[in-house]
Amino acid sequence: MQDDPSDAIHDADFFIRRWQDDLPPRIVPVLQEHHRNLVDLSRTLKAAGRSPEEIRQCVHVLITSYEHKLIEVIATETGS
Amino acid sequence: MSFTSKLKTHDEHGRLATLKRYQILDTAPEDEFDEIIALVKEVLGAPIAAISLIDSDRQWFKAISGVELKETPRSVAFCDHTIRSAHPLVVEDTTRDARFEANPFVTDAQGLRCYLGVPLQSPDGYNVGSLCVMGFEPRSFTNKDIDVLRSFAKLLVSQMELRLVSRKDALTGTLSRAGLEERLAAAFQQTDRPSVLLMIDIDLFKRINDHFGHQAGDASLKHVARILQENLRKVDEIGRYGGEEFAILLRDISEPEACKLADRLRQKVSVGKLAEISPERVTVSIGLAGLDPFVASVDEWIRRADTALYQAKLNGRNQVVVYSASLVPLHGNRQS
Repeated sequence: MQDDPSDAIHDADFFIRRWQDDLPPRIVPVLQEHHRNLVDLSRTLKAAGRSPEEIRQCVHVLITSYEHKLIEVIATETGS
Repeated sequence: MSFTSKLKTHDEHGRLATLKRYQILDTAPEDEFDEIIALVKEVLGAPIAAISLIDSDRQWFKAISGVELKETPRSVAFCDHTIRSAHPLVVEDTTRDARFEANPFVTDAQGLRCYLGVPLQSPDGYNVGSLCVMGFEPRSFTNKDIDVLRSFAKLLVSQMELRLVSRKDALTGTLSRAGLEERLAAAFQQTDRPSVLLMIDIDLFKRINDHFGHQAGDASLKHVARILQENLRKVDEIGRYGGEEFAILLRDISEPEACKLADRLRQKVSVGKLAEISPERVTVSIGLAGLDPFVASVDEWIRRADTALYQAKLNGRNQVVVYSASLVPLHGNRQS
């Protein structure tokens, strides 16, 4: 288990950088911005006194919620 | 890419154009937005949370929790006040605020007593709506509450940008198939607005690819998309439905008028010149199907337009065929 809930976001950011060449180019900046906003939200929730478990759950829901959009984009780009 | 731009509060035309660009008004509920609203409501402990988008004369909710409401007149929308500034709108007691004390949502039996809204600012600087929470008791919102809502609002905008990217076809700039199907589903529900579907296929596309190469094929797709887009009305929607196939949703139009428009599109394409395949010309075949009470589903609507398109191909291509029950129904995949 990760100690800091925002670790999940940083991990996702790392993978975006690593896969940058394979992702559709037009989606990379949008994804990066989205992850920056997730990090901001995580920090804000922490400052507001939310527990790490609450924040982790919140981040998990938010990351999962756009997963389908990401798959749609990749499917559109690759025609699959 | 820069995601921050100076707020433009005095350009209503540009603001509405940006809202339209998101292609989100009157779309079906989507889990990603419902989930954000559920989180906002829970984290801020508010009875009501909503994503409100401010159209020209109404506010429309992409997601709302805590009350059954789809839209309201813009004139009574708290969020219409929120979008006029870059700052959050905090109303701790609506009955003590001259702007809202006579608002029908405040004066009704279970009146709204508090409101916190943060504008949804697009990357190009327009407030298209707001993310807000409301309650039935007066409430003092803390700076931390405001910061949390502001962070959710920023995330929501990037989620809308991501949604937009997923609905655009990269090559032609038209809607993607998923984006178009969403618009068709919305049109299917709006039975008070006459709608017509055009399925458009580039004739002999394989021959273009074989003779002139795939780059010429791509150029043909962009060429056709551009001509179609330039000759559509603002209310119409165009999407790339398959490899060399486009679909157009025509709104607020009768079938005879749609037929004239379709034939004008066909003619515009047929006279357009494209250097990559010169001296050949690109032509298109078009199948047309109106949305009438006998169309049981979106799939059937598409199938009807597809059947008419198939007939246009059989008749010799470069023509428009209107669906009628006498056409041979199309089952399974159409042969190009």
